[in-house]
Parts: sequence; C-alpha cells; structure tokens
Amino acid sequence: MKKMILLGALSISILTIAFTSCVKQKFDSPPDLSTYDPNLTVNATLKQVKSLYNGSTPTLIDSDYTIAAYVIADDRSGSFYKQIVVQDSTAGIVVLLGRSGLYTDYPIGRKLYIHCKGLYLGAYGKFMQLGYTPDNTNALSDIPAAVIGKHVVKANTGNTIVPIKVNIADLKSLNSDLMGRLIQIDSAEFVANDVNQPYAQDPNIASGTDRTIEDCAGDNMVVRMSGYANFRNELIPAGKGPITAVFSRYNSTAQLLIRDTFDIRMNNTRCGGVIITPPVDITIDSLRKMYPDTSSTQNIVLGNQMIHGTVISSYADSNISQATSLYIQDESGRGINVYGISGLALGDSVTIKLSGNLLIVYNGALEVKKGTGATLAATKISGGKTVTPIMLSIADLNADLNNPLFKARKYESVLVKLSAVTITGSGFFAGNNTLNDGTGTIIMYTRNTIPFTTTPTPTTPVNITGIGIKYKTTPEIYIRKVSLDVQ
Amino acid sequence: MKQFLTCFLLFVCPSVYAQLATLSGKIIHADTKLPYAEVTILLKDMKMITTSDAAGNYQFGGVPMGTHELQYSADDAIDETVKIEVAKSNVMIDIVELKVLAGSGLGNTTDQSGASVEDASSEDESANTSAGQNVSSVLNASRDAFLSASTFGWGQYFFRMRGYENDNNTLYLNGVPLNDLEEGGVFYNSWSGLNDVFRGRTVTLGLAPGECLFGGLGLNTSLDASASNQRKGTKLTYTATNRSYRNRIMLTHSSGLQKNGWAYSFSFSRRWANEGPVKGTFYDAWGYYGAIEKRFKKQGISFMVVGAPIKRGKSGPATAEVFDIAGSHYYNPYWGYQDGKVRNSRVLTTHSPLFIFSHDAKLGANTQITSAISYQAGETAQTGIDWQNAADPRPDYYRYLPSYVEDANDRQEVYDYLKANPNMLQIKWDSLYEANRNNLNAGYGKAAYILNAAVENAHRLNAAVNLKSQVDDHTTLQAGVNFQTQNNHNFLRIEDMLGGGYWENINQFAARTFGGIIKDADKLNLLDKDIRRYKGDTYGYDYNIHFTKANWFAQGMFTYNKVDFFVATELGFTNFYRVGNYQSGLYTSNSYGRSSTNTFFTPKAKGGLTYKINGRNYLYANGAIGQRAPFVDNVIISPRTRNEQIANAETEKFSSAELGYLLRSPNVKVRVTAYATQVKGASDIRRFYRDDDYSFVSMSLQGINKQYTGLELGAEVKISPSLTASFAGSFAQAFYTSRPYVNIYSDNEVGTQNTTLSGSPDTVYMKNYYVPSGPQTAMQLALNYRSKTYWYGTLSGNYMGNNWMDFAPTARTKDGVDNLVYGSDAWHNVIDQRKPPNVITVDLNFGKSFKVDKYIHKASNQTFLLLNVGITNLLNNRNINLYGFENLRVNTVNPAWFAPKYAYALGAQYFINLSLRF
Repeated sequence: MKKMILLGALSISILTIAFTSCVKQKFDSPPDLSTYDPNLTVNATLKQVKSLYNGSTPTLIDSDYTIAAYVIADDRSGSFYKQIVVQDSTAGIVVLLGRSGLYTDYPIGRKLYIHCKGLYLGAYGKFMQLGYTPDNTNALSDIPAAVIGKHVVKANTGNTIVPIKVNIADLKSLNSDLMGRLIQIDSAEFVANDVNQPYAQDPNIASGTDRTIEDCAGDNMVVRMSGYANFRNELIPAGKGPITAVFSRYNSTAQLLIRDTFDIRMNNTRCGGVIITPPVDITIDSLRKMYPDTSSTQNIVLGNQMIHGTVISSYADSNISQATSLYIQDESGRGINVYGISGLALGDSVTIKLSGNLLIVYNGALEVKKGTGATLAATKISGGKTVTPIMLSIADLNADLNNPLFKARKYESVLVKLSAVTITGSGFFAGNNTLNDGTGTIIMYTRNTIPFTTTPTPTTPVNITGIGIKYKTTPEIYIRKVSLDVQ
Repeated sequence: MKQFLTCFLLFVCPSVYAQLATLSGKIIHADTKLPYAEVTILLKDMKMITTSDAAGNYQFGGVPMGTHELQYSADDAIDETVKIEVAKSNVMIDIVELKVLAGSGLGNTTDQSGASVEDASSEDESANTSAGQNVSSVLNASRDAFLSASTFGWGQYFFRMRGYENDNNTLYLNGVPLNDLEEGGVFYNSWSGLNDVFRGRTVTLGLAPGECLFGGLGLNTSLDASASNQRKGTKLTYTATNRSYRNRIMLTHSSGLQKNGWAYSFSFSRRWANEGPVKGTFYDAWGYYGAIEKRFKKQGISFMVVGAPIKRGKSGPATAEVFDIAGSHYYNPYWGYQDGKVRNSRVLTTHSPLFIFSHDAKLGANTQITSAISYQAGETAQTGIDWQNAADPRPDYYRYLPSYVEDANDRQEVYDYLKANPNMLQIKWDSLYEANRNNLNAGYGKAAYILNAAVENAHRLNAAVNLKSQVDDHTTLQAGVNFQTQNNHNFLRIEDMLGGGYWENINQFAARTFGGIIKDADKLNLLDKDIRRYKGDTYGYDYNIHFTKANWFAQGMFTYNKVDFFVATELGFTNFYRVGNYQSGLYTSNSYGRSSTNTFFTPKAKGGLTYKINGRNYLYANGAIGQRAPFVDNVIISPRTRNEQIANAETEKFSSAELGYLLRSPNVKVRVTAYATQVKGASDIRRFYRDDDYSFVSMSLQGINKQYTGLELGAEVKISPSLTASFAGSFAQAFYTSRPYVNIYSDNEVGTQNTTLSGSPDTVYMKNYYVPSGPQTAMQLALNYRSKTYWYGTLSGNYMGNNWMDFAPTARTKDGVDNLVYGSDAWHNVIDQRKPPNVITVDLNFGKSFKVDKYIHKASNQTFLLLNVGITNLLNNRNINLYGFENLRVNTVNPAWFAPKYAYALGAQYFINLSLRF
C-alpha cells in the first residue's frame, strides 16, 4: 500500500514536471506596419536623378541620392514582371527588382524610399529604368533579390495615386515629364479591329500585343498588352470611357501600359454611336460555302464571323514550306488553308476571326488570307488535340478534288487516310511519289528536305494519312511526319 | 478443432504425441562465482517463468523437445540469453554466469540506440531522395558484435544493413506484422521514447529462419512488449543530452508475472527541447504504454496500448553554397523570426495509438498457437508554407542566391551582403504577414501566403495467427496466416492564415496555362461549392489509398547432430487502389472516385543448412527467391491529382544467397557472412518541377535491376575477464545493373491518360551506379571494460566510407547531357556519382551503479541508482555528410542553380542518464 502511494505521488510529480516544462509554439501576428513611415531624409527628386542618364548607355549613380516615390504599377496581374513603376511629383520610372510577387511588398500606393547610389539608369526601347549592373548589350540587370532591401525601403501603404488627366494629343511628346507616370484619358475607345479580341495573344506567339485606342477627335495611340497578364484572354470591350495607364514608349512609339482590367472602364457609347457586335462562330463548311458557285477565281471579303478548328498541318515536321501556312479542320469534317499566321503546332485548337479577311482561290484551292487593314490572327485554345482521318479510296479522293466547284469539295484540306497503297518513285520520300491503292493513283508530295530526303519509302503496301490537297490542277496528298502518317 | 486448426495452418497434421522434458540449471555471479538468487528465468517461446533459489538453482518441467531460448534477468545484472536444445527428457543446462553491473537493462546501448532512432527519423527530410528515409536502428540489438556496431556505431550515420532499403526489414510486435503497407518500411515513431518496455526482442539478419514470419532480406525483428515480459519493479529515469531533445524523463512500473497469473505494466516518457542543437528546431515528444496480461494454465491473453504524441520542428538540407554563406553545416532553412521570435515552418506532428489484443494457447503438449489482432489509427501532419501569385518564401530559393546573379561583382556583393545579414537566409515571417495584410488593405481578401499541413490519416487493422509445433525430436513446423488492411487519407489542411483573408482552392499551374481558355481547368475540385478556404479547411488534394495484404507462411526446421536445415515458404497477396475525393478540372474523368485495383501475387521460398563442425564451429548457407509487390507510390503516377497508373506494373523479383562461418568459444566469437542478392524489375516514380513544362511532373523508372554483394564480419575477443575487444566490418557493394526506361507525365495537361510527354520511353544510363544506401564500407573497433566495482566503459572507433550519394536520373539521360561536350569536365560534373569524404568517429560510454542502501539505510536492498554517461562523435567532426541528393531539376547551362543538397551529422553529443530503480 505504502508502495502504491509512493508510486502515485511519484507519477503525479513526474506528470507535473512534464506538463509544466512546456514547449511553447503559439505565435502572435507581427505588428501592422502599413502606416509606418521611417521618414528618411530625401535629398533629390526623381526628375533630378533621371537627368543623370546620358540618354544612350547605362549610367551608374555614384552620388548618395535618396528619393521618395509611390508605387504606381506592380506585378499583381502579371502585366508587369520583375518590375514596378514608381513616381514622385516630378517624374516616373521603372524599377527592376529581381523577384516575382513584388506586389506583396510593393503594392500600388505604397510609399518607397530609394537609395540610388550604386544603381544604374538605363532604358529598354528608350523607356527609362532604374536597375543594376548592365550586361554587354547595355541591358540593365535586376536588383538581385537579396539586396533589394539595401536600396528600396518600404514606408506606408494605401496612398491614393491620382492619375494626371490628359488627352491622346497630349501624349505625342516622347520626352515629356509624363513619361513613366500614371495618366488618365477620360474618353477613349479601342479601334473596331481590336474590339472583342483578347487583350493579348498567347505568350508563346508573342510576349505582348499592340492594341490601339482612339478618341472622337481622331487621335489614336498604342496600348501594349502583356501576354503574361492573367487577363490576357479576356475580351477587349467595345464601349468608350476612361483608361488609366502608365505612359511609356518603345523607341519612337508612344504607348500605354495598363496594370489590370480595372484601368479600362469603357462602358459608354462609342464615338458616333457606332455599335460593334461580336463575330458569329461558323463552321468551316459554312465558310467554304460562302465561295460562289463558280470555278473562277474571286476574292470574297468576309464579314463579322469567326471559325474554329484543330491544326492538322505541322510546320515543325518540315513538310509545310512556310511557317505562316496552316491547315485547320473542324467538327463539320471540312478543312481550310489559312495563310498568314505563325506559331501554331499540330494539334493546336484555335479560333480565327474573319472580319475583313479574304476567302480566295490560290493555286487551285480555297484559302483564307489577310484582308487590307484587317487582322488575321489565331487564338490558341489548347494543344494536343487529334483529328481522326477519313478513310477513303484514291478514286474517291481524286473525284472529289477534281470537282470544279471549290465549295463542293469535301476532302480538300482535310485529313484523309488511304489504305494498302504501294509507293512508286525515287525510293525516298522527298518529291513526288505515286500512290496506288488499286482504285487509282495520286501524287504524294513531300518537301525536298531532311528527313524526307534521307528516309526511304516502304516497299510493301502501307496506310498513308495526309492532307488532301489540290495543287493547281493536280490532286495531291501531303503527309506530316513519316512515323505518324505512314504505317 | 485443435487438430483442424493445426492442419489448416500447416497443411500437414503433425503428431500430437511427443515427449516432455525437465530442464534444470544453476546461476552464479560472474565475478564472485557465488550462487545468484532471485534471478528471473524466462523460457521465451513457452512463456514459462521461474526464479532461482538461494543456491542459484532453478527448474522447468513439461518442456517440449526442440530449440528454446532462456532469458536470465536480475535487477542488478545484464540480461543473458542462452539458446538450448532439448533432445532428451532430463536436460542439465550449463552453469550461467551473470555479470553484475550498472546500467543493466537500461544500459548505454539502450539509450544510445533510442536517440539514434530519433536522430535518424528527425533527419528523414524530403521525399525526393531515396536515401534519408532509413531508420535502420533497432532499439536494442542483440549482443552480436556486427549487429551492435551497425546499430550503435553506424546506424546514426544512415548505415543500411547490406545496403537494402528500409522495406526489406520486417517487424513483428506481439505477433502482428507492423510494416507500413504504403511505404513498406518499419517505423518506430509509434512507440519512440518507451525504451524501457520495448527491450524484449529477437533479431535475425538476412536469410536465417524467422521466429514467426518469413521475413525480409534484411533485418527481421520480433518484439515482445507484453506485460509478463516486463521486468518487475519501478524505474525512474532522467536524461540530459544535446541531441534532438535536451531532457527526457521516463517512468515505468511493471508487476511482473504475479502468482495469480496477472501481469500489468505501464510506462510514460517525455522528451523535450525548446531548441535543439540545430537552430529553429524544437522537440516535444510524449510516450505512453499500458499492458495487461492474464496467464491461465494452458493459455494466456494480453492487451496492450501504446502511443507517442510527437511534435517537433525540423531541419532541412541545403546546398554547399548556402552552407558556405551561413558559415555552418547546421544551417536550417526552415525557420525565421516572427516578431523577433524563432518560428519553424516545418513542424511535424504525429500520434498513432496502437492497440494489440493477443492470445496464445498450447494445443497439446508440443503445439502452440498464438493469435493477435491490432488496430492503429492516427494522424501525421507536416506543416509548410504555401503561396499563390507571390514570391517563393523559401529563403534558400535559388533565385535569391549569389549563383543566380550574372555579373561577377554583383554576385560578390550579394554574397557579402548575405554573409553580413544572416537573417536574409531565414524565413521572413513578418513579410508574409505583411503581404497578406497589404492584400487585405488593398481590398483583396485573397491570401498570398498560408501555413498548411500535409496530412496523412491512417487506419490499420492487422491480424495474425501463428502455429508452432514440435513434431518430433528433430522437426519443428511453423505456420501462420496474417491479414493486413490499411486506409490512408491524404490531404492538405490550412493551419494558419498568416493574417490573410481566405485562400483559393485553385491550381496555379493550370491557371497559368489554361486560365480563361478552358473553363474550370484551374479548379482543383469541380465539386467545390466555394473555392474559398479558411483555417482548418482541406484544400489542394484529397484522396484515399486502400491496401490489403494477406500471407500464408510455413516453415520446417530440422535439427540433427551434425546438420540443421530449414525450408520456408510464403504465399502472399497484395492489392491497392486509390479513391479520389476531388474532381480535378484538368482530369475530369479519372480523378474522382475509385481507380482500378492493382493485385499482385507474391510467392517466396527460402531454405538453409547449418553444418556443425563441432560445438564451436559452424558453417551455414542460406538461399531465398521470391517476388515482392511494388509500392503504390511507384504505380500510381500522381496520386495527388488522378488515378492514372504506369503501364505494365510488375512485381519485383529477388534472389539472394548467403554463406557464413560462426565460431563460438568462451573467449572468441566470430561471425563472417558473404552474401549476394539480385533484385529485378523494380520500379520507382520521382516527382519534381520541370521547367520545360512549367509544371510538376512524375517520372516513372521501370526495369530497375540491382545487385547487392558484400562481406560482414563480427569478432569479439575476451582479453581478460573484464576486458573485451571487438571488431566489426561491412564491405558492401550495392549497385544498379540495368538501364531503366523512363516516362515523364505532366501534372498540367487536360484529360490525358497514359500519355507521356516524351511520347516514347527514354533511357536512364545508370548501370553500375551505386545504390544510395549509406556507407557501403564500415568498420568498428571497440574496447569494453567491465569492472568488478560496478562500473564499465566502452571506447569505440568507427570508419565509414563509400557513402555514394543519391543521383538524379534526369541528368543521366540524353537530354540531361545535351549541350555538354562528351567527356569534358562539365560532362563529368553532371553525370559522375558523388561521394562525400570518408568519416572517422570515436564514441565513449561510461556507466556505474550504486546500491542505494549502502548510503541510505532505510532504502530496500533492491534499490539501485544507475548512471550512464556517453559521448558520441568525441572528435567533434562537424563535416560528416549524413546524406545528400541531387536536384531532379536539371539545367545544364547553369548547374549551380540546382546544386545537390546535403545534410550533416551533429558534432560531439553527450548524454547523462540517471535512473533510480526500486
């Protein structure tokens, strides 16, 4: 009994020691510094600092200048990357900071003190920047992430930046003090060609896209949209209204840089009451049927319509001579050759706006081509799509491609598959080879390049997949890639 | 019924008639040669217990023929275990000498190994390395010189038995198999810190016959933590150390097997440190254990519960560049200051109580059946920082380091600046809060940073029945069936909003690629009513993995005068499947719900022969062949996102042989074993961020063949009655013998199934690379002095070399060496396997016991005070590479960006252990 009591007492004392010697792991939240201003001594204006730049080669700031400025653009939307734009009451400038997610530390409206000594002044497309040691092409590097705090000191947040109100006409001078500052144009609209287009193209096609605004006085200017912005797929509004932006330039072109879609509030009626309606999505079959019942060559100007489809040609695999020529096919089972768009790959799913572009006959086949003053561009939706080829005999394919009515051809620019064909010709893929499946013969045309010049044609019957083509008066078939299309 | 059970399990019907024997023996003090009274003698497999009388004599009646183990334990002596063979009806056992000394039972070794288990598991960073997950140590190895050296000398430096992965080791506790079904390995976390009650164990290495299991190729451990197996008495321990923890207290009380057939035992421990030896780490581990047992005449039932709630702040590996700037090999990227206080971002919390109910019974005179059922459930959670549309919060992110800066002067400036501002290399918690606050102030409720936890909720149910029958004087048959089922629920949980408003459950990578193009592609879960998440909510991924495993095992052991031999076989069945709880916007059709079930049949067989040259010299040869099921992680391509699986998942085929010599003489003990093992058809999936795809990818490696060969040596020489010298050595070569084929699968594609990015499989040129398995050469020389005046000391020196590092398969492909001049230095720098320098360590231990009644006359004569002091790594070598691994992200133009990461072993560590036993 005595032992039990002793044991009990011991257990209790042990547990007490164990519980009281606690390992503390609860944390407070740190103090709110959003209203804190270290009140550093400012001894220069941004304009004074900018004036140190010699205008052509990067200039090291070797004086102990400290400026105070407010962030007017950050990287929250992805419209800016590894840079912010700051301004004081005299000027504005881009600051290159070697880090992503800058807005979490340097959001729009935050006051910053910048110790300029040791930084460089330079320019990209003549638009001035504050950054670090230039490389041998005179491009400034970013201030390395680790040392940003040495140069940029954070002060209070939430300051309201009032943009300077201007008209497009005021932005003609590339050397004005407005450069690098936040401006607002109260009444502007995007030109009709840009309306309902995405803000920017796929960054794989172009890192940025120039759009144009105009005012009712007839002045216009470029708005440069970043392909990396998270709003790049949103559509450009059709109305008129205010636009807020950073005034910038690319060499001799004045341009505006928006920070996010909140900078564009164009909800009013356009100049002159013009109404722009979004394009009608039609099938390629409907497009082909717009060509008149004729075998002659005509240029058909297309209206406010768009097509969609999957790319069935592959420039990357060398059997298309131009990067700008592509074949697309859609669920109507029809295909079309589109001329003038680059950067797309086999299997990409795209939409193409037709307004102002042309439907023509070129080398004996239908083709969409850029119209004067119109934009011909594709919007890539996704990649990796496959199109199932249509199985048919050579006789049927020839009969279709030889139909004198272009609009009636079902297999022109369409992926088809011929079975058990024998190949006769040079012994290699390059050039014209003749395919025979017992019902007829057709030319398989392959460009005179590697790998086709070095790849021998099979000697036993094979299945051939390719695009049905009418070249001038000859029906042909184009394969994309030997390993893909010859089996 | 009994007969039926026996027949069912064995597939043979052994005779139930056999002779019973009487054993008798005598115990004396090793130093004085006087009789030793009050020694507890346990006949282990029969669970028979007795006590020596005043003359040191003891007796057991009704013992079946065959091989048995006797364990002798006294309060003030070291346990001794003796193996006997009973082949006639009256057996006189040789006189057993027990050494009286300090620290018996809780001796230096127990403490050391306990700590090394904890150290090893506290370093088990990063799932992206196959090294570093190893917990090879056992809590208390048997006294074989080789096992002891590998456990206590090399174990803490990630030495792995024969170079095998942890999943080649097996563990039985009170008769139930406890290997994890997901990763295959043996994890001691569930009862760490309870060294007092987990001492009883049988360890077999390699292909020797197992106690109640077929076993793996490596170390097979069988633990008996039942109440009757615990030493009677109460023990209180305090330990001060500078390991992962700084303080430890343990309290254990056991009743021993009482006359009324009842036994109970409980134990409690706590280990803690407000800050460990590595900055930013803390340690708070508790342990509890309770067991009760009732023995009847022919059977017994027992129940046990054990659990260890652990919470600790981890340390992480880093690149050589960062160690250089930090000026220390103990730089820890996981912590930072928050409001002036140290906060660790990687906190591991785990608690999985385990319940075991077991029953054993004698079916007739020579047949024994044991059954056990266990249930374990618990949560393991590891915190980390997550971020969206914000800068990487990891302070050692490659873009923040000097090597990322192009201009040489700027690089030096960044280097100098970081060197002068070491806090720049730690997490800036205040900035994370500020970022969230700035967002809120600007009208964006969305948090940029949160603290999450990767949670695994596991439920395991295991059941086993084992039968052992002594058929005749020469034959022992064993058989068993076991069944295991496990359900792991994995998900991310928000632990701390860090001042932010809400978190969005969206896929940032998909948002970047498909945002605005494909509707809902960025949704992590299309079934979400609201994508906003708050503290305590689940987000990111959410899925279950279900496992089932069943085995039938049979073994026959045959003992003759000159030879012993055995044959064993196991027929196994494993299946697993995934159940997705999220419907991904990218993988709409194969992310939600149940995947197809993978089923594998795994037959195994082994056998061996021991030739007894004479009573002291033995030769033995064993061989095994069989198959193992692949692990779920190496079959399901990306369990976090979808059900997709690799094509042609197959079992791993192994064959192994060992050949050995054993010398057992009073003054010299030697064991030499040569082994060779081949493994074919293994698979592995590595997951990492690949720049080409702007996405995380899974890289599957299939057709991995490995070979493990080596020599193990353990020798012990008694120089004088109190001085023993021992030598142990492991000379191993574990290497790959094939060029596996790889497929890469992106986690950021729409709806693809069984499609690879590369189109066709690529080859990894890794033939003859070493398996990263810790030091492949290891040696130990030790001197052990045991004084008659109740103290002992051990001095040991260890050498470890050929610690080949884990390598990135991505770098050993055609693409990995693209743009590099064949055979150039840069080329060698990319493809050559790295090997950290060889290591020498010295360890010293000392212990003494005090009989308390000598000083305090009121104390009972069974009261002892035990003191142990130990110093490991006495030379304070702070350059010991514990493990390292290459970054799977490869950049041949700027290799420094993705340099290998390393972790270093601690310098000199001490422990002072004080126990009171009464």
